[in-house]
Amino acid sequence: MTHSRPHDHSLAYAEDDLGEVDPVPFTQRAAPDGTGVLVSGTCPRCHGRTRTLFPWAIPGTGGKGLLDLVRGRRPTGASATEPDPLSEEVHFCECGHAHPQGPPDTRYRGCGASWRMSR
Amino acid sequence: MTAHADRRWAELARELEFTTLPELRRQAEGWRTGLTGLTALLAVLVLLKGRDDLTALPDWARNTATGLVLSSFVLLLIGTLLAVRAAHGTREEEILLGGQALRRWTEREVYRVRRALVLATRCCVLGVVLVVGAVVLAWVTTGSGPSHLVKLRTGTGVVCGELVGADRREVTVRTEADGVVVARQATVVSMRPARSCAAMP
Repeated sequence: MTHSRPHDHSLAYAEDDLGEVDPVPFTQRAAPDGTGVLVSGTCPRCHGRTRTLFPWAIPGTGGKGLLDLVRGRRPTGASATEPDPLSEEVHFCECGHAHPQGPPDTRYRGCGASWRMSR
Repeated sequence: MTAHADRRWAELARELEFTTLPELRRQAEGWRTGLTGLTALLAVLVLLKGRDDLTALPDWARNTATGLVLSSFVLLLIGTLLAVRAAHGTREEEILLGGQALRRWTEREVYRVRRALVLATRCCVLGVVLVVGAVVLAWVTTGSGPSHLVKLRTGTGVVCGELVGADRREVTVRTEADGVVVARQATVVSMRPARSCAAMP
């Protein structure tokens, strides 16, 4: 286990794109109430424990095309297979700590870092 | 895709989580309006009211006009449904709402809306062309029907046709089958206006 570094609470907020990171410290599992998938792990920047819920939801007013419905064809992309937010999504630090110089209206309460999982 | 764009997609996905119900209600309102508008298409079926209805047309013209009207009705119906679908979407399956999933869904939806709009335009234009064709066909093939139709009953039978003239001595009627028929007043039992002579034996 290598996640021994403590959470750096004094690290200033910065919207840094860390690129691809090692997926080992991260896990994903269905939320206990079935509302989505919970991705958790350690932020590569501030080393705080981060948890992000990806909820099941209707994205908007859309749907299958009529031709797709007639042909019974499923849309391509993530919904054609089992969703895998851990490897498909961009992740943002949600360590829950209000890091210094952080914007007051951010939707992600953390150090501002974002990353993808390396494949 | 830049980090800034990724962050915006993710923030939009998070925002959508709280706007699902208003979005569904807006979609339902749009479909209600669209389906109400569909009833206007029923007017297509009563458009062919030129000089007469389709029954006055020759057989080939009546069949052709009927086919044109029905085809146009179906095309206009499909076109309207496609336009409503493009404007207001349709039933949707849930997705795991993350920024990248929302971006992929949006790309697919943009393609579907564009395709629906193109098909809707083609269907509506073709439907209107067919209606116009049916109207023109009805006007061209419907002759001016005889006016002043009468049913003349005499001692020897009944004739039906256009009243040409009448005086104290005789009544003159032009019929399709027998041409001009002249009946003496003394033999006339009755003479009544007739709407059509089609049912005459």
